[in-house]
Amino acid sequence: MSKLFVDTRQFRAAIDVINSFEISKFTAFIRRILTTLASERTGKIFSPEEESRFMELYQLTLDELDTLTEGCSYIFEQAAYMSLKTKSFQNHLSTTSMNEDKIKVFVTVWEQGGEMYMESLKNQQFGYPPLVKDIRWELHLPLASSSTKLDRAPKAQIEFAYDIPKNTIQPSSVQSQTIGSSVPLDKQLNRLLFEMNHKELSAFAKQIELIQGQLDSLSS
Amino acid sequence: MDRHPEIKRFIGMVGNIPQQKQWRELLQTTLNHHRNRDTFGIEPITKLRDSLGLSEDVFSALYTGMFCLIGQMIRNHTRKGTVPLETALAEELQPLALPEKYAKELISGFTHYEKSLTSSAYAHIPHHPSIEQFRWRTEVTISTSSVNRILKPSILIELRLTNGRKQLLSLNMNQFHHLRYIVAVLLKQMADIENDELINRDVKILPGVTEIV
Repeated sequence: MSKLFVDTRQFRAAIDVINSFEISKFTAFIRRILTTLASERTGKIFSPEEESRFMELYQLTLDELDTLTEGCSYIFEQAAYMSLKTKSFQNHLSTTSMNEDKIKVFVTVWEQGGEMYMESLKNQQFGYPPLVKDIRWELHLPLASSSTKLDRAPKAQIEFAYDIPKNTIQPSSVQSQTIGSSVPLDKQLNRLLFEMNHKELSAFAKQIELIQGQLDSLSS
Repeated sequence: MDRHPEIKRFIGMVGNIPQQKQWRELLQTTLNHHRNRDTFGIEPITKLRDSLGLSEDVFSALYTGMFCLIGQMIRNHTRKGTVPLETALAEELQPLALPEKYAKELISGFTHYEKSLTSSAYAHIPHHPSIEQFRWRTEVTISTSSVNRILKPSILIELRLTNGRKQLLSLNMNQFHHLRYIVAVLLKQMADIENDELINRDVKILPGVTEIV
């Protein structure tokens, strides 16, 4: 079994802090780390206020807290990378110099929150191409207009609502559509609306079926 | 149709066009105007007025009347009825009591350009853009920097609409199945509507709405 946790000096220091940590508070602490990792955040795990609070609560210096946080994140990230099940996770942890009781805590927390964390990692997007968030539709029956009368050929309208996350690179054609709007960029859901008559809708449905055929052959 | 004031006035003024040739010119210009509503300039109209040699009042009444008349004919005959077009038009024009040769010319000109007249009438209605090109790609995300083995499928689509807008979108599996469901529901409802007896009745006027022409 190859080494999952590379034995660097920093990692050993993290293990030391873990081992000296008070066991009763340990579960809550690393569970907190795991949930923060699973939520899509950037930057440091704990905010400065939280850091000072933890330092007081657990009697740690800033350096020790940092090492501890980094070490625990590293353990979880490596476990997620290899998509480890509980048993293999435990085995890998036993190869380190971590105490048994701490290993037990890690394993329990991983058992409960590991799946969710790995799911959130799998669903992470780069932001381009934009992901469709919602699809709405309407069926229209035109009755009359300024130049025609009583046509009654039904029309279908479909609207894609998609998200453009802030701070991601988009081609300029997309940016130009959102300039000049009053809603801030990161809160906007862009929309793409189009309509089709019966013939066009049938052609569209045919394409969708082709896609479905491709997907079926993927899984078979 | 005879309730329309412009058309009524037009009928009264037909006497000002004694020659078949002049009627033909008037007809041709108004038909072209209907076919290219957005791009039609003022020059053909002034040219026509000069060639007909009529006063401003008479000419404007004639031109407006002819334009409205053709508009009404388009309006009433965009839908394929059970009766052939010429017969239906002849029947409709009857109460107007146009000279026979003129009426014939009008009907033949109209049927000749029927397709382009109808399509320009439809283009004139407010509508949303429709799909000009739909390209797609199935993708499988094998792994990322965070997870070694993902194997998650997704669909990449590129839509180009008739208004020129191009958009690249990515659908996860849930969204794709939702889209598939929506398309199936819409198709079914459309088929139901088109086969519906009540909606497809061939009525001449919308019941109760007689003032909107």
